[in-house]
Amino acid sequence: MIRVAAVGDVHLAPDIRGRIRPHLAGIGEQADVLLLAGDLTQHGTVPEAEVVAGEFADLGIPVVAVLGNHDYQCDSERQITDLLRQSGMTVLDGTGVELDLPGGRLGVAGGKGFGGGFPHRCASEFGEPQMKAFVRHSRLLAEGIGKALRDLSADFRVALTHYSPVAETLAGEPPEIYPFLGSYFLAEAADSANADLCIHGHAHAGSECGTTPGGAPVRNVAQPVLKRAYAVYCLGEPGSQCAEPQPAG
Amino acid sequence: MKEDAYVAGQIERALHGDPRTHELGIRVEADGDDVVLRGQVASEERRRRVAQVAGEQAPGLTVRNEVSVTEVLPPEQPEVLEASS
Repeated sequence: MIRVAAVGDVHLAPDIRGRIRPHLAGIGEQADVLLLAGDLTQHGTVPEAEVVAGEFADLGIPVVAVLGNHDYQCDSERQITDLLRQSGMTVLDGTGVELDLPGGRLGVAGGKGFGGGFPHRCASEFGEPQMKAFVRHSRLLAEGIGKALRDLSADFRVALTHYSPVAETLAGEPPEIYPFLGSYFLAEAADSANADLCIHGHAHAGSECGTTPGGAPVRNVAQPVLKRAYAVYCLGEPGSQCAEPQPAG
Repeated sequence: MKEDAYVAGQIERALHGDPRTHELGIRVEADGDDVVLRGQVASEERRRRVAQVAGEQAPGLTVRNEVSVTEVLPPEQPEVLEASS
């Protein structure tokens, strides 16, 4: 049994430093790993990334993150990635990581992902160069994530993205903007690797639970959706139970 | 007088692009002299800034700020997922 904590869209900046931290005390009693599903900063600046690093430092469990669209706003995504890595986080960008945890070997692969939409209501690589570039960007990012997932040799595989792999977890958002919130390419990538769980954020007004066409559970962990500091999902044998959780700090 | 849809669109563009806000999740409804803002932000200060930026785009209009601040509650019980493979 592996306990995966996850949250996204914390949108940290100096004005809300310490907003999440009090709830992270004792997270090691609740979870074996913490996944951060992008939009870690509000404006995508390096000083904001310093707040992120401080908020999630020294938790006693591995922290694995991807960036979101807000983290790209000031063209500082490389500096943000470097800073977070220096603070001890693993930051995925079409890559994967394997972690030996008490409950088994966990593989996490992911990246930001991108939009484009979902079957029957999606953009395609056709027509103007701008449209082709938009869809190609989404497809190539998803293909990279799919390869990284398939390359994992672990007991459990988790796909971690910012954009959504399915429409189901967008329920609550205006349907007209679904193509800007995710892409089915990401679900296809996860299903190509028989992923055990897909974690994403981005859709603040969406819903927590969904499923890929291949049957993998999808969880939208955007903090405004959870309204909690993080959620915990247990991966393990069917019917097995998590350890009794301790009261969170 | 500008049509309501264009007023709403202009305010939403400002909330997206203004470095004081960069808020993409605020829904703006304009109806004549009234503008209503709805959505969630992470702090009371960000809620105030959203109204400020919207107000600058809508001089002479009444801005009603129904944006709320997202709660951060302690984690709940874990969810046990069955393995898909």
